[in-house]
Order: sequence, then structure tokens, then C-alpha cells
Amino acid sequence: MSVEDQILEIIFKEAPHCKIGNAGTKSLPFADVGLDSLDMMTVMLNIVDELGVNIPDEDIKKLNTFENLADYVKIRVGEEA
Amino acid sequence: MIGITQIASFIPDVYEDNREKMERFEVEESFLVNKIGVERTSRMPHGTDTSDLCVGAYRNLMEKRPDIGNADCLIVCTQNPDGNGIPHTSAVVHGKLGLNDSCACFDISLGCSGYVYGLSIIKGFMESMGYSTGLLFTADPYSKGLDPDDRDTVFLFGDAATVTLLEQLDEHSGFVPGHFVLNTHGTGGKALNNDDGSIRMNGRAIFEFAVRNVPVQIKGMLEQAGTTVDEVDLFLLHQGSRFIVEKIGQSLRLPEGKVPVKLVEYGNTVSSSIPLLLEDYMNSDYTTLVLAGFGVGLSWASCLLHKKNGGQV
Repeated sequence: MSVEDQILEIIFKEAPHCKIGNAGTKSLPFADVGLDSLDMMTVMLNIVDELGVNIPDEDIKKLNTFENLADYVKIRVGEEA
Repeated sequence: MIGITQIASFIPDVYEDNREKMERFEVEESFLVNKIGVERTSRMPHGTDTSDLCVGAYRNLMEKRPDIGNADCLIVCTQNPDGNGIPHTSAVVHGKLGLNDSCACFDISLGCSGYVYGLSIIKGFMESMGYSTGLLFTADPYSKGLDPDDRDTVFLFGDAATVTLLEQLDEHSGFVPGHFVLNTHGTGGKALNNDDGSIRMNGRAIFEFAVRNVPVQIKGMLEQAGTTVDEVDLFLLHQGSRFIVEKIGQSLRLPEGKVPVKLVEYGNTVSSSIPLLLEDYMNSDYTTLVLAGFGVGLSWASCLLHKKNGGQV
């Protein structure tokens, strides 16, 4: 499973009704697709646990869309692989 | 055998309406209700102090148990003491209540884990001293140190006090606390601090700390006690927020009915949140309860309560 798919799975597990689907929605802020700050806390926690990628507090604010988050994680998975 | 025979609480009749803050902080109503879980926060009235909240709780205890004799000891759990902390708030409460000079008094400095720690301290203290009547107060009015511009805390914390009466259970029905597990992770303490004169909270750090550690501690405590999740009637968790209580419950795979949530009307009351819950169940048919507090320190603590002598307290 690709990193993107793994992140999507984590997100849908936390927020089954969120509107992330096609390419257009992946560039929208998380708040606009139905993911609030507490949903994202859980998503980040599960990314750490399941993908082994630590996300420092100072990076969190930059990761406000699915595309940003997926790119960030992909780079770090590559670096750490 | 020392046990909890009664609990009373005091919530000041002064509130801040969280709905009035939603627009300013760009918080949606569904988030306020379903995630934070606090619609208003209680506030200590101007001109009063921590000890006055304790006195209010004691007055309510006297209505439930007017026959209480002289207390042998009085402990106050707070990190927001009267004035600047000298004299200790427990002594101030002692003076305001006019208790006997024979009553031992001291404060303990703990936050959201304070009630469970406090139960372990007062139970052991009463047993070692041969005392028969003890009072454990919780009163941590965070409104003293809240920054009204801080989105992370302004919706969350409320003021309250509780008093727990502990007695020898020979003649009384009550809950016996035991199987305490008390933990600390001091290097994470900055996540909830008052370094600059205001309460500052890193919500993400507190959330991750709680979700990673509290379920593990509870499971370990139950294993040590030789019991299982299924044998516990209720899990009374510190009411940090609706979201965090529900996440810990989900992590333990508990049905919703076993993890009560009670903070909508006054907020996260720090060390008072667990006794505020327990007060509701003192006269219930439930016999086995788990208490778990977590927060400032970082500190987390859990224990098991078993009801002795059954019936009404």
C-alpha cells in the first residue's frame, strides 16, 4: 500500500465522513474537508505509530492539506528507509 | 478499614458562556459541543479564594452528613492556593471551619492526577496514624491563571471544589480505594505550565501523553488487581475534555456507558473532576470502579474502588 493510501486509511478511520476523495479536495485545508484540529491530533498520532514518522510541533501548522501532509511523510519515509 | 463514605462538591454560581466566545476564536458549535464538551465554565467569584470554595464543599457535606465528628486530618489538593501559598490553604480552611487543634492539615501540590494521589496519601496517612475521620479537599481554580486570549485554555477550565469524607468502615458503607499505580514523566512537564503567570497548554502533547499512557496504566493496574475490564462497572476518568475521555475509552474498547462524561456545565475542574463524577455514584448499585487522573507533571494515576458493606452511604 502506498504512503498516500496509508494516510487516507488513517484519516478515514478517524473521520469516516470527511470529504477527502478526488485530487481537488486533497489540496484543500483539512478544516474545509471536515477534519478539525482534534481529528488531526489523532491522525498525527497514528502516523507516528503506524508509519514511524515523527512530526514536530513546529511542522504541524505547515501541514494543513492532505497534499502537504502526504508529501511531508513520503520524504521522511524515504529518508528513513 | 478506611474507605470513602461521602463526597460533596461546590460549584460557584458564576459562569462564562463558551458560545459567546465561539466567533472570536473561530470555533464551531459542533466542535464546542462534541469535541471540547464544555458549554460554560464555572468561575470563582471576585473577592473569594480557594479556601472559600473548600468551605462551600464542606457546607454541602454537612447537609449530607450532619453527624460528622471532629476530623483527625484535612488535606487540600491544589496548585492555586490562597494568596501566595503561605499559610497553606488547608490551614486556612481549618480556621474557617473552626476545627479542633488536634486536626492535622497539609496541602499536596498536584493537578489532574491529584485526586487519586490524594486518596492514596490520606488512606495511608490515616492508617499509619490510627485516625478514624479524614477530609480530602480538591480545589484548583485555574481562573486565577487563565489568559482570556488563549484559545487553548479559555474554553476548557472551570472552578470547583470537592470534599471526600474518609472513615473507618465498621459502621458505614463506602468505597475502599486500593491497587494504586502512580506515575510521572517530568521531562514532559512543559506541556502544561504556568511559567509566565498564565496557564499554557500544548494540547497535542497532553493528548498524546494521555492516550499513550493512561490505558496502559489502567490495564496494568487491573492485571495487578487480578480483575478485568469486564468486571469493572464504571471507569471514572479525569474530565480533560469530551474528546480525550472518549479516546481513552475507545482505546480500552469500553462501551460508552462505562465511561461517563460530565463537564458540559462547568468545564475541566482539574483535581475535582473525578470526585465530581464519583459523587453521583456513591448511592448507586455499582460496586467496582476505576479512577484515573492525568495531566500536570506530567503525572498519571489510577486505582480501583470496591464497595464494602453495600447499600446506601
